[in-house]
Amino acid sequence: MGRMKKRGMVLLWMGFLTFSLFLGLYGDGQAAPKRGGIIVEAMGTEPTNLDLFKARRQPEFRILHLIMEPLVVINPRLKIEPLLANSWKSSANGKSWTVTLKKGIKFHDGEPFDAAAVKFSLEKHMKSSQGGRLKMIDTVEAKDDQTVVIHLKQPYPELLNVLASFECSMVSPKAVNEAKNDWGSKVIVGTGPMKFKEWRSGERVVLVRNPEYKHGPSFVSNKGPSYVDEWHFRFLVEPATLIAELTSGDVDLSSYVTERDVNAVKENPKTSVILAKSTSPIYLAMDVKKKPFDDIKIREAVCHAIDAEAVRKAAMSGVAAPLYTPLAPTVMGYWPGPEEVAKPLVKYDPGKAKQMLEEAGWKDSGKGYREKEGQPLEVIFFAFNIARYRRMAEVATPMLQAAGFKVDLKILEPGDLYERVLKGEHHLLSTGLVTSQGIAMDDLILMFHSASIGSINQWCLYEKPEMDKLLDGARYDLDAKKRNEALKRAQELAARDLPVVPIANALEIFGYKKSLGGVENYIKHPWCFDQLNAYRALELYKQ
Amino acid sequence: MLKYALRRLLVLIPVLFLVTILISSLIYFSPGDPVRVMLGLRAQEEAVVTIRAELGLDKPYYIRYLNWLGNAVRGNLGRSLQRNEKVMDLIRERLPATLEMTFFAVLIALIVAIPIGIISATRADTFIDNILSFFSLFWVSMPGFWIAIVAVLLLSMHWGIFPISGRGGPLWTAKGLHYLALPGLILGIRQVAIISRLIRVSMLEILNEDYIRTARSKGLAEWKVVCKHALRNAMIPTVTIFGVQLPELMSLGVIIETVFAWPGTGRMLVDAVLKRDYTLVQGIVLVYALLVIIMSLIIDLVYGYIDPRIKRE
Repeated sequence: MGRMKKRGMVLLWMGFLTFSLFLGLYGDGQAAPKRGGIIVEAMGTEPTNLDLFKARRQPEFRILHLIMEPLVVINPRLKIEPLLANSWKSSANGKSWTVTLKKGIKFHDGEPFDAAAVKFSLEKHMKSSQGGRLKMIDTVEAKDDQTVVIHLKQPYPELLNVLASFECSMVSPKAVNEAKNDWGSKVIVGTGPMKFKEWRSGERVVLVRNPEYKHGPSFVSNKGPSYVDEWHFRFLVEPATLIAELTSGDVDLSSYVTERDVNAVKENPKTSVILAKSTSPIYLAMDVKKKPFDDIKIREAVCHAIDAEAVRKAAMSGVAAPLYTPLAPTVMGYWPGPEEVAKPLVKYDPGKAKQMLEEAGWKDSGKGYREKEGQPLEVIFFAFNIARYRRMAEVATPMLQAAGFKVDLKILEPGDLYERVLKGEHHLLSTGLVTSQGIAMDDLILMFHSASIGSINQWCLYEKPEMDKLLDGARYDLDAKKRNEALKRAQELAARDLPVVPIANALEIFGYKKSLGGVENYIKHPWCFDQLNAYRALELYKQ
Repeated sequence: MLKYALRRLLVLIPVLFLVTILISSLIYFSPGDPVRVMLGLRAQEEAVVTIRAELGLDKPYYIRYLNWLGNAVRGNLGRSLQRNEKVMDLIRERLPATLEMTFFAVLIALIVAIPIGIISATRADTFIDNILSFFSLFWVSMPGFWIAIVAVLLLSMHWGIFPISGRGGPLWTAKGLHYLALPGLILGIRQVAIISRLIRVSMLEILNEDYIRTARSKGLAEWKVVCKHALRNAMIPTVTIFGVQLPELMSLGVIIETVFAWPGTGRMLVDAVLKRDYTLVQGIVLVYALLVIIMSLIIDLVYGYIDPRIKRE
């Protein structure tokens, strides 16, 4: 019996060892993430300031995303999920929302994250320059430490989508009040996976791990704390220097790789690149209130005159996806139906462009452009002095001229351009919606609701009661089906009315060193390179 | 000498005043709204108006300038419109990097250019002189931007001798010097070309002078004739041109700072102009004007040292 027992144990151990070997050969082969080290991320420009209540540019977002968090988050299925809030409930009439907060979360300065902090943060956001997003909120009540009641001016069923946006992130009231003028430059406090350490002007921003962070959302594999000790943001304005540091230097990743440099990063043995559709549409916006673009036939003629594929090749080195409507297909609430309506309207067909202009009475004057009743078919074409938009305008101009437009192209600095556009000096603008929140309704409101006229994103000065009604229905109707239907109709109208010449769905270009681990987990969320890039701090590590 | 220096410093005041009026007029009247640039594309119109008022940007130009001037005289250059940090603090943080790079470039220029100029002059029209002339013309003709990128490709990426970009620390540390070497060299190399050519031309003229012939006939060693007698006189026009080149060095530094991600004031100035950060632009330009004037004064004092006749006059 003893001998049999011994033999049985030997067989058991052999079986165990064989199984382990099997796992080693056929398992996923991934080493456990290594803790420690510094990740260096390169940015193509230095942030202006890191004040959450003022800053609205990409460089600021990329840094602040790792430091601050909103109450809720949008998951990879584009549904709302808890983050700092635990649960929420709307009242029957839709005019108030009760939000219960998670317990035990602290700000980086040690202050508790509680209802008072939520009230302070939301009220500060409402008063800020970007407070327009929260104008549906009337008051915010801290019922107790863990409960906030948000009272609305009118029912707003999509409130959680707004609260999920990064601009509604939570801040420590104590830190803001004590920092005064240093807030946003020397003092930046949130609840995120990384804490602000220092900002060496012209050189880098340094963040350090938040060891208390353990509340990462459900879709991340590491709920916290982050694997790395520090995260450095270096400012490398010259693209050649950025690529040099990524391929041969100390930079581990960058979202500022230009389209022209994609192949250089791809072909380098030490680096790799991921291209992902962003939520940003790139287009030529037409001022639909101004002649000749107040005529939809002329707008359609412009669409037929422009070869969007050629513009993408020239201006973005072909590193861009096609676009047929004013919305990027990756946004929450996007309906593909309008694409079929839009495709024949925006198809490159220079012969049809000329025919439509002829039929509209614009005849060839023999001077190189068309005229109607002695007036030239003149277009004042503005473009930002930013490589992509400038190049788009430069490539589109001869296409328009070939159709018979007299084009006056002006390349302007952003400050100058904003001023002139607000004054309505343009007919056509080479631009895009780079501040997309990833939500179809919000993007359409920004671009086409009459209430947005006067703000920069209403490049087209589009004003149509039918569109306003549809967009108001999409945001205020308590019936989800009706909201959805209104949103679909609004997308269809935007596609049919041709206020823009769709050029491209911009691609996010993520260049990284192959020695960086966790990339496969990081890229699971479709928004991981823009609105949801915060979780790179949790997933990525140095191998 | 002291009286002379004090007189020159007094000239500083009206010059600085004129510079600040010129720069502030240029930036105030150029198109573009700094508040729009700061707040971005989705800012509400009311917020833009409020912040414009808070920053005093709704006041007439002359009131804004006089307010700024009144504070500047007391050493307060205001706050950056974009960063909301004190302009003096920002300049204090970034200026050492620019001065380090400029100083290093000047040192390279002098250490390398003087021997090259002497060799070219004493071996005029020989093979060595032709080679040195070719390289001088090459470095003068090539755009600094191109030289910088090629240097990074070869010396940093390919051969790994120098880091690609960034600042490693103060100049007196080994790491700081290692990071400074390449940008400083690129900035200085054009000066090497210019100054070496100048020394060559001056030396050629001086080496034919009677007193040089006298020095040689007295039996002095050739190196003493060249370095002690001829070079000193050749330095007078060289110092003049060098003084003129110094402001150009600082402006060329902007390109070098951009390519090498060097955290100096040059790049900060360009950013501030593009973002219409009026107070920061005025502050940096004021400091630059002050530096140029002080450098001119130093050049004048160096004249006096090189040529005692000038000191006596």
